Amino acid sequence: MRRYVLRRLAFLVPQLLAVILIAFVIVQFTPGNPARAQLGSQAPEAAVEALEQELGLDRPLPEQFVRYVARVAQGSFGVSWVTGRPVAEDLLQRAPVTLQLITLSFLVSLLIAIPLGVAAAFRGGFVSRVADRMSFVYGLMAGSIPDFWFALILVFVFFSTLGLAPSPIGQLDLTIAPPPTRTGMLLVDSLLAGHWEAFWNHVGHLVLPVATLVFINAAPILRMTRNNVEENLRSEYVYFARANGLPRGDIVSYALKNSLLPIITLAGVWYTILIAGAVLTETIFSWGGVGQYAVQAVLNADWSALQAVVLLAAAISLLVYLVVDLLHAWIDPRVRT
Amino acid sequence: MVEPLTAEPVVTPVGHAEADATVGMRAGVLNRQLVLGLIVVGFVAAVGILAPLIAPANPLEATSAVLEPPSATHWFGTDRSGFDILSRTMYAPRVDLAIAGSATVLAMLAGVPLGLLAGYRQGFIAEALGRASDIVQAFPFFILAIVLLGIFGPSVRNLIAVVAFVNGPIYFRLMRGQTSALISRPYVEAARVVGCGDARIMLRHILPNSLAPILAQMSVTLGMAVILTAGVSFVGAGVRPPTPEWGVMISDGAPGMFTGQWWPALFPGLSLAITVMGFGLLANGITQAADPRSRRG
Amino acid sequence: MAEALLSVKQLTVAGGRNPHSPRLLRDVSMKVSPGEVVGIVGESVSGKSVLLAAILDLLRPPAGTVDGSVEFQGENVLEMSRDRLHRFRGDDVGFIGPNAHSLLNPLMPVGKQVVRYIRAHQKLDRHAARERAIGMFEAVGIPDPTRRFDAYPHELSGGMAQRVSISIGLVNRPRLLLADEPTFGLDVTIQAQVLELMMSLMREHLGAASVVIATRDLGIVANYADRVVNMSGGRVTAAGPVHEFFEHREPAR
Repeated sequence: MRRYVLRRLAFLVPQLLAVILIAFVIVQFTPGNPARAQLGSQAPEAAVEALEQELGLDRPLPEQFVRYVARVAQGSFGVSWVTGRPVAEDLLQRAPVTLQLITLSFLVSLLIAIPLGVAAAFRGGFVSRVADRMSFVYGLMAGSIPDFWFALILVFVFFSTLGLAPSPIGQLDLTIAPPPTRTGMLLVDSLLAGHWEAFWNHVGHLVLPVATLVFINAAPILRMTRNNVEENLRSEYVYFARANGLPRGDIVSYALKNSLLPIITLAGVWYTILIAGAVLTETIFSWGGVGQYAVQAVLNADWSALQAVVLLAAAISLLVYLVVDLLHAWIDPRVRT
Repeated sequence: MVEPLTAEPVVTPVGHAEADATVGMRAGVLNRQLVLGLIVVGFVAAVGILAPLIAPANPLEATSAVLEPPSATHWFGTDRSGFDILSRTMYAPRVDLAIAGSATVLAMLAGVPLGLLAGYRQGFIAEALGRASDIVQAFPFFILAIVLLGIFGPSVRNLIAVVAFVNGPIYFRLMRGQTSALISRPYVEAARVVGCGDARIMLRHILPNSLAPILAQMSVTLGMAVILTAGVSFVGAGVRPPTPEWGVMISDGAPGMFTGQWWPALFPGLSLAITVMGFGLLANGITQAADPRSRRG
Repeated sequence: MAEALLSVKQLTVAGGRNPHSPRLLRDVSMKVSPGEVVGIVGESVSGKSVLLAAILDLLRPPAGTVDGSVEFQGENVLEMSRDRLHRFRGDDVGFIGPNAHSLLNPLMPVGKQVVRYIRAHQKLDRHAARERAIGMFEAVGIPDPTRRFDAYPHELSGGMAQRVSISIGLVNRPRLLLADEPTFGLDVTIQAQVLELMMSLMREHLGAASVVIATRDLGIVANYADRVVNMSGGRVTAAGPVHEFFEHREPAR
């Protein structure tokens, strides 16, 4: 196992480099002068030239790349001309916000989808058949309904009409003072500071965005779980176990463990899909996370910011895949060879 | 093979019979999902095509009847600029389906031949293509799409190219997998032994047997492309207003959802969802039609 | 004649609940006497596996309907309570199937799996059960049994895996062994070893081997069976002592 971990970690470095290379290449395609793009069209020519020198834009490409890697390693991602602040600062503030939203939605999706999937798979009786039919319809709907529209519907129903949800703008009511920033995640920070009002208010604000993400993303998890459990219940080792009188509890645990394995692998993929889903949801709810930041960057041609976001998203994906692979190897001995 | 219709398995000692599930599609194997999918998709396409003839109003004609709820004159109501929502909803498939269709065809034209070659001759190029395709697929496709559009500019042509680019790897993977699997089948080996040329084998044996999965995937891609187009346009990086397109319309109607005017965003979204659902059913239907071992017999 | 160990009477199994479901077994009757080896032969779709499954009452929920009876030492298996059934399977009757690797849970060491079966049927603590499992491994001829206890199924060869599944089938000293194509996929040389092993183990424990082997391999039947039951299309088409069977066989169709 240890060897597998080391091997896998060793892969991480070239993968990161490849990602940085891609981010670098992407920006080479952007029209116009990167220095000017960073300073804005109003900046004086002299300032633009100075920045050009600093960024080494007159040097050959490979050298530029090396410089870029060096800058990234130091945590310098340039300056966003939209916010006027270093991109690194912007990201530091926004990344935890998005991470909180995604992770929360992911966990809730798992909590809902996996038990439902398992229940739907244990055919036998009216309830399971109903669950089966319902999960089919749900799967179809969730794959067809765009998340941004669904978010709007939720806002309309629960905010405009029923008045149950708080104003869907931002993470907190404007009248409530946010807790001191420790992790950047409001849930954690408000707990740490004991600001109960802020905590519950934030939870209220979380309901709709999380519901949006969960609705869309729980569907594939549900279907996969159900298919896997069903397949395992029909497998030969389950048959053999039943034939030789293994107690039902043991058999169920065998089947479940084997079913959940591919789900762990896919968990990584689903998590990264959530990253994309967060983009639109954040925009609608003015959430102040990386997703909204990315959209603004695209619309405003803020290339430094965009480059950094792409890098961040890719790096997080890589990390998630790494964790998932390690988890998989821990559970399934066949992978370790 | 005795396949009991239950979740309790009966061990078939000789393993599973080699049922060649991909031998084309049998004519007349119409199942519920296939029919339903065809009806929905056909209906939407028809509405789009016939829109100039059957739409009650000009989709681009701004009137003074601003933000009026659904009524006898405007069945779906009007939006912020006074456009008739019903007409715009009816015209939207022209844009969305055209973009989705072109993108899908492009993705197929790129991905399928490359996948075929890669699966057939598993050399260095195949590996390299595979890695490249993995990398493209690693980026969440929506982010990739808006980034590319941000760079190259939001035109319809770029939109089609971007959607095709994002979906191409799927066809590459699919075709490569199919080819690898089919290559070891007895009839392909027999063809080789007899002396059939590679090209002939590929065209005569491998492609036709991959038809069903490719068609099903096409339907899925069409649905995904429609959502992607709408999403990108919603954000403002795709189709621009006032062109009637579902994403644009939803974006336009978004503020209304906060203040209680539900109709400008509801109807386009509903149409979008129904269309994509149709594609989903169609894809399921195709898969079921081609599989002789389908569950619901 | 000694009282039959197993007696199947007019067993009919339908694949589903509605009257038009296909009949998987039609009016099948057969008997196994103590110390007898009965071979069930037929092509793959003949219903051999279904018959074995029906004997263990593995077909009913939520599958089709079962008519007729299966009597083990006078008791009707199909009417057993859930608890009795769980003891019946594994304790009174053991089961072995083909493709040994697919019969074992890929995620658990094989020794641990055997222990689970032991503790499911006998009141032994973990250590005693482990000792028993290792002893069984030795008896089935697995070299270095203590080390192999911790091996995972995919680390074992086909023959080794089959020995493990034989361990499971026989560790609780069943009176009757049901073997569904036990040698399928195994090397020819190993096939003989495995069959020999099965027979000798049973004889060792009980003085006689009562086995039902379902197979397509007539060689196995010729060498080991006392009686033969020929099945086709879910029906019994012929039954009798082995030598009769080989003299009067109809030419294969």
